[in-house]
Amino acid sequence: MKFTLTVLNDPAHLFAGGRRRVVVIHLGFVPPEKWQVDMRLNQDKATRFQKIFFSFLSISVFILIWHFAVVFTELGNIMPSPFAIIKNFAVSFVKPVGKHTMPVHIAYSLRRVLTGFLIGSCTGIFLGIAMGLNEIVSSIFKPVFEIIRPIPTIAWIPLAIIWFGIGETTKYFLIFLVTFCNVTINAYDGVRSIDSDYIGAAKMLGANPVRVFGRIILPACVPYIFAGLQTALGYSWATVVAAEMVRSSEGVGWMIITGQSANNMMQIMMGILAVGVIGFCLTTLMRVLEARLCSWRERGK
Amino acid sequence: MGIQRTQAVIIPRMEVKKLVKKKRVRNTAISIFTLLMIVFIWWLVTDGLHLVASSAMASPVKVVQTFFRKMTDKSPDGATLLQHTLASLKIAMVGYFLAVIIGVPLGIFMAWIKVVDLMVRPIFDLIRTIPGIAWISLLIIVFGVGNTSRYIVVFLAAVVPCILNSFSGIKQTKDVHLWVGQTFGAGSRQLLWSVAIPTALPMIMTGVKVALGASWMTIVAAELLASSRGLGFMIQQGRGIYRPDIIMVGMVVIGIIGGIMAKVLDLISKAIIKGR
Amino acid sequence: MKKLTAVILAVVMSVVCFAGCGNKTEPDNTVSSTPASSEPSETQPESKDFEQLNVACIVFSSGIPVLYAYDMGWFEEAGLDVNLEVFANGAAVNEAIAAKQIDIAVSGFASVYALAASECTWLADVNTTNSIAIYARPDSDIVTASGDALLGSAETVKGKKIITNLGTSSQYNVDTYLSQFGLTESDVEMIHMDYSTGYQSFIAGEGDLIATSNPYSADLDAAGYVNVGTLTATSGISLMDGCFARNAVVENRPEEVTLFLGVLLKAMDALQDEEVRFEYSLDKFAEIGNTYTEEGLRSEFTTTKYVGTEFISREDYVLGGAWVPIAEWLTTEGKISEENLPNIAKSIDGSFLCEASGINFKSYGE
Repeated sequence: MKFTLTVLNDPAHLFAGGRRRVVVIHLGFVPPEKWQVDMRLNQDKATRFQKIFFSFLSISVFILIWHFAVVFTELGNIMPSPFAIIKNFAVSFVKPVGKHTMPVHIAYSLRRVLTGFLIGSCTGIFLGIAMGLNEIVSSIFKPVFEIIRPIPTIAWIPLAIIWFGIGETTKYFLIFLVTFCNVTINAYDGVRSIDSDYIGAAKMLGANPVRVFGRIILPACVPYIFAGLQTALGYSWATVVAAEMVRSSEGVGWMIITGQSANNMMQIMMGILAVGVIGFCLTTLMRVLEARLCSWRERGK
Repeated sequence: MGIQRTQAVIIPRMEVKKLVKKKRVRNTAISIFTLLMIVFIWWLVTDGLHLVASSAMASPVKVVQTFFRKMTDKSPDGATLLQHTLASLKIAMVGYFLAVIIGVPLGIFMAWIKVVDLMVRPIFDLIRTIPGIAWISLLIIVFGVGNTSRYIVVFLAAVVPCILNSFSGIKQTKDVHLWVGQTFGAGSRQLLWSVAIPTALPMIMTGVKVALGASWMTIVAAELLASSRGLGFMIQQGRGIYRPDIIMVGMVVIGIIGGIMAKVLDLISKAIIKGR
Repeated sequence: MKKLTAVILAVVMSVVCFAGCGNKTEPDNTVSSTPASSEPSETQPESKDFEQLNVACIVFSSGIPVLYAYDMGWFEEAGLDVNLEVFANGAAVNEAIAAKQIDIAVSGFASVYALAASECTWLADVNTTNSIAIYARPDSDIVTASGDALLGSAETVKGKKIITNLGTSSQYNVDTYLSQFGLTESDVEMIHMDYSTGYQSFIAGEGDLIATSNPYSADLDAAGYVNVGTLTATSGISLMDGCFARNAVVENRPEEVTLFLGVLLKAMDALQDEEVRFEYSLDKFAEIGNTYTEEGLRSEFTTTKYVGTEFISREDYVLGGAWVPIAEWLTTEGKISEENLPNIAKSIDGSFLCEASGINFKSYGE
């Protein structure tokens, strides 16, 4: 029998429809002639067309329900119709909201998120692997880490302002915190997931530490790290609203916050739309990136 | 170019145990020492060397003092620390349980039935990254000033990991097992209950754990508008009236409770998985 | 391995480039860029002696004179290198002041906390605040009760739901209103919301009373809601928004402080002209995110007057007269500590404005 086992890593990646890596094991007692193809049961691999069609369908239904709710119920007093929102969103690409047009706002927010994300990821990967490899490092940093982790971003704002002022650095720091917490844990779990027997065996066979690291530890960590990076990117983008509560005059978070204080529902919805769309693009990008890199991994093996 | 052989050393069992214990003691000592160093440096910066003004950042001594005073003192925000904590806990728990009750089954169904997945997923992917803070003023206008809007904010944050993890947990069910079940004539529903869900349980429990963290983290955002109680509210009121000690007390309490809840849930989930 | 490294390197390089490029066009922290001062860090002001002066204002009427002076380039003419930051409310300004990010601030009620912490000096009043008031629905039983400037009684007010922005002057408004009838906050239900959400909820039917300020006060007036007590009526105190600075700045840079106040006074005098004020305010408020209707803005002019040269020349004018009574009240509420209370009286110093304006008015305590 030819069995197929699906090897999957983190939920987010999987959920977003990433390619499932397939490991084929064949049990020697059955002759190849008797192999049956496609014994997969969980074979709900929807075709691309189906996916696109249903996406279109469900989003359209959602928008239509919303539109009718706005037109025919009291919701209309509070919320604008989705068509109006989309129209204003498109218009904002040319006509400024506040001081800048929508693309500029998005660019500012992206810059803040990506900078914080980059610094947080590099630090996180480094520290996570170090913590996983060395007990002393782990004992030093783990308790600090456990204390920092549950504290929400907004609660950090007062301290961050004192340490970093009211400029861009504070925003980078807040995003850094979110990324760092997620990535470190994942890198740490990745290192810890390696069976110490492998490392022991490699050492017995004479591999020097660098080779052990490069050949065994790093490849084993990569799926965990990538899972961490994906969740971290999602959370970082979501935190941009909180980060931009620290004195800003641009950005999608700023748009939502000023919309809230001015009770400008249209502006709030435009900001929400921007956050949702860009967040979606970011997570898709991450997923595609990982699929590319992992296909390399499979060939390399 | 000889292969370097490391000598295999045989260590008696008692020695190994002693070594492990020594290491554990050493590690704990290092952890405690690090924490003490951090508190010391904190004290040095505030009260010791006055590098930061006490109106900007509170010293650890002041934080401890305020912590105990706030247990009974209602000023300056109208409620004691305990009242704030209970208010926040209530909001977090209600939103969290709603998220688990709705999210876990939803995730399972999305993984099991293709059509549900195809219909729900696009909307979910779009809404997923939108933080609770963004929704809050909208929700208050639609649902009024009661706690409902806050429950929904927490719900939105917690439901995402529930759905994601239940989904992937089910998807991960080994086809082998399902195939075996099918061979024995199990129908789709039986397969779901006796094969898929038990296998998915560890992943689901992870999701439930993550969701608890997420719901607790969101209370501060949820309490930004239209609350009169809660740890997030307490922190917000402390800002700008020159009470950094209240802010720190709030942060510390949030941190500690978050940690305790995570540990408790860890124990519970281990028990459930073992039981299975 | 090579491909992995290559991809990672590419990603890192592109993000660093992105971040680097972004940093060059660092978002202008100033609100508007007049031609002469688009990049404060790059232009050389006339007087190179002065370092950058970090000024804060909030998105309400008190901010308009500073913004006006900035847009007209008057700070630069005076030789000051002003970096102007706009904040959403007084609490945010206080935070920035405590973090030493801001040198001079024009703010409102929240300034009392900055003064109490003994780190700031009150330098000038900027505007009166007669728009801070409590409103009730026209059919409410409070309205039908007796009273002249103050409507309501212990029986009618007790148990009511009051929408307030806790921590601001509105809370003070409510507290003093309640104390007129011998009630406290625990006799009513206080619902905390910021001004805009509070206004929306109130007109949607939530709550029995709302304590608010402009532009919502004007909107409520226009919509027929009943004003049951302005802050002045409930507390007997004329609260003024105004200007304060960190003590370190006042001590080390007195010349700049005097120049700043001189320009501020000039702006307030210019804005006495209603048409000038109207034209500028309408657009500026929209730009900083505070939407006024035209009627709302006009009615604001009747309640909120700028403290120009003519105002401070009056016989009975006293700088900072409101702060000590307010601080005493807050101390009884536990919001300001007993030991900090004396700091308020000590921090009112009108000498700089006297020098800048040439008018010898009294400061509180003189």
